[in-house]
Amino acid sequence: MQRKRCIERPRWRQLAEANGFTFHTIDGEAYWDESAYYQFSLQEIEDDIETATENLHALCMDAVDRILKNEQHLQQLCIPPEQWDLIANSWQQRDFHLYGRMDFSYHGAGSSARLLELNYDTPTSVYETGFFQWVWLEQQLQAGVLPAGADQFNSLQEKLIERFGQWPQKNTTPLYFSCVRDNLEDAGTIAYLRDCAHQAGLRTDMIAIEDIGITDADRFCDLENREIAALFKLYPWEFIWPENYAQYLRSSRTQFIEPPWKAVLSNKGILPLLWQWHQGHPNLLESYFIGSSDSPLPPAGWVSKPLYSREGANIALHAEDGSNITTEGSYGDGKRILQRIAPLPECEGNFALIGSWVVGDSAAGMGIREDNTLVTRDTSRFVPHVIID
Amino acid sequence: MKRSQMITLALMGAPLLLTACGQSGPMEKAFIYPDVQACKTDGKLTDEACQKEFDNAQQEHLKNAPQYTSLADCEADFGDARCESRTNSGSSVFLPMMAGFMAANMLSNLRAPYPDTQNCNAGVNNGNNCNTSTTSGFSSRYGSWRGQPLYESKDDTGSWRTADNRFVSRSSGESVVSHAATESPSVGRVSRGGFGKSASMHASSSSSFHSSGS
Repeated sequence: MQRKRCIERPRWRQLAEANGFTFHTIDGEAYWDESAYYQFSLQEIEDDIETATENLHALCMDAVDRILKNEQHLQQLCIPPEQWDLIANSWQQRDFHLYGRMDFSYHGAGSSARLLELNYDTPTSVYETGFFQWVWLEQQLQAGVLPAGADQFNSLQEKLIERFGQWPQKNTTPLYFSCVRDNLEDAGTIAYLRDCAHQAGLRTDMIAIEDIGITDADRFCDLENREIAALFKLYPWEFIWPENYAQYLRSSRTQFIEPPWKAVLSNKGILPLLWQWHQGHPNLLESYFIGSSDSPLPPAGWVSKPLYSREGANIALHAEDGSNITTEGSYGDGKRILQRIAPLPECEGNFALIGSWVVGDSAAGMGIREDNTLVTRDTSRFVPHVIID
Repeated sequence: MKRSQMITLALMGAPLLLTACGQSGPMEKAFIYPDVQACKTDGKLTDEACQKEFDNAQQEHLKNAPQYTSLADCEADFGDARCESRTNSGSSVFLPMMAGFMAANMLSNLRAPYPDTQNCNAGVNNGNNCNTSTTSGFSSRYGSWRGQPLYESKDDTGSWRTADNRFVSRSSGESVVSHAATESPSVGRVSRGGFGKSASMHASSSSSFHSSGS
């Protein structure tokens, strides 16, 4: 695993905008960054990333089963009791799930990828990974910037289309894609997933989450008052639970993607449970539940994270050398976990995080986020990668 | 090979899709006027239709206008002297005044049907089978609804809005409006806005980039 500087494609921003990638630059700062790429060997990808991803995914699916058989675990995860039935039923029926992303700290050949967290409910950067990174590779190959034979760990789009094609209601039910209004990144993400669904032959539509209505028959409906029988929601379950319409989740009979059972995995409490059940696993980090919101800084060599938080918010990191990083955010309340630190690899002041994608139950590709600090945030740059042997 | 063989985008690339998150649904033609006289003067609808659509709008207004228990609250939303009181089963309530009305693009309302839809509508009741969507998303079909009351909010002057506070248009006369805005709220069956509050609570203050993803 090496970081290499690279010349940028001329006018790539124009290409980005023409292909719906309007958030390539955020608040004047680069988000898509092709001034460098990460180079991996095929062995690093296959042995260390792909295999670890599929193994961990299997442990996660097993964990869902264990958690849903024991109310104590649901309490540990702070899942509200009124949601337990919905989640358990959705798991019993094995409700269709689409995708997820694992975040790894990985230092290249000879090391194990370490699972920092799972993003199994509302993962983003899917367009950047599956489409724009792929186009970058093809164009840099054509331009001779990358050597012939250079490859990429990235069948994400192909697998997404294939997976949508396996959705059982494919031929009968239109699938709505929904996100919050006025967010370019989220709108781009659902537009891309919708595109993939469309290519798989599904009938699709879009609606802002705020525009969803409820009929007097307790069915969710669109702006035309047509029933929304199936909804892809780029909107976390824990956001939905306290909201007014949570009371209709069951009566609506709407099928959600991701399904309710994904809430069990998209929760940092899964990390101590995985550790408890698979202590010493090479891809897991030691982890424990801790109590209250105002707990002091973690001991040296540990990170504290809220059960529910996003985009690197409300993290307290206490490095081995005694330095501390704490990040701001709105998720500060409530229960937290401790996780042993696994610092991200650093090159010239850039810290790289590996996002490894799972579609259905298969590893599907990889995207890399770079930041100037050890904590990856929503504004961390997306940097492409290649496989060269 | 560890990457997709060949990929493409089928829908993205059309820039409208990225804004589609908040704006979905077909559009249709409607006629918007502040009063009956303006409708008649415009000459697009028959005089009879102007009156009938206005009357219907006024009935809808009494049924569905937003209601306030205090005049001050009503005026805070609709502006000074823009509210009126009504007695509703013995107690007094305040409603915004109807600022205008929206008339349906119905064959029977029109002085002269559109030439491009005449053939299509021959022999077809209300033209409902003539849903000829064009690339702009505008449908030239005829509506099957009746006149709706419109209001003007204090914080959005110059815009016509429905009783349930949906944006309709900023223009008067013949207009293109979202089909959803023509739905009468009198069905009283649909509420909205039960999702989305959590996202605003977690909007980050350091960035204008508020994702609910991760």
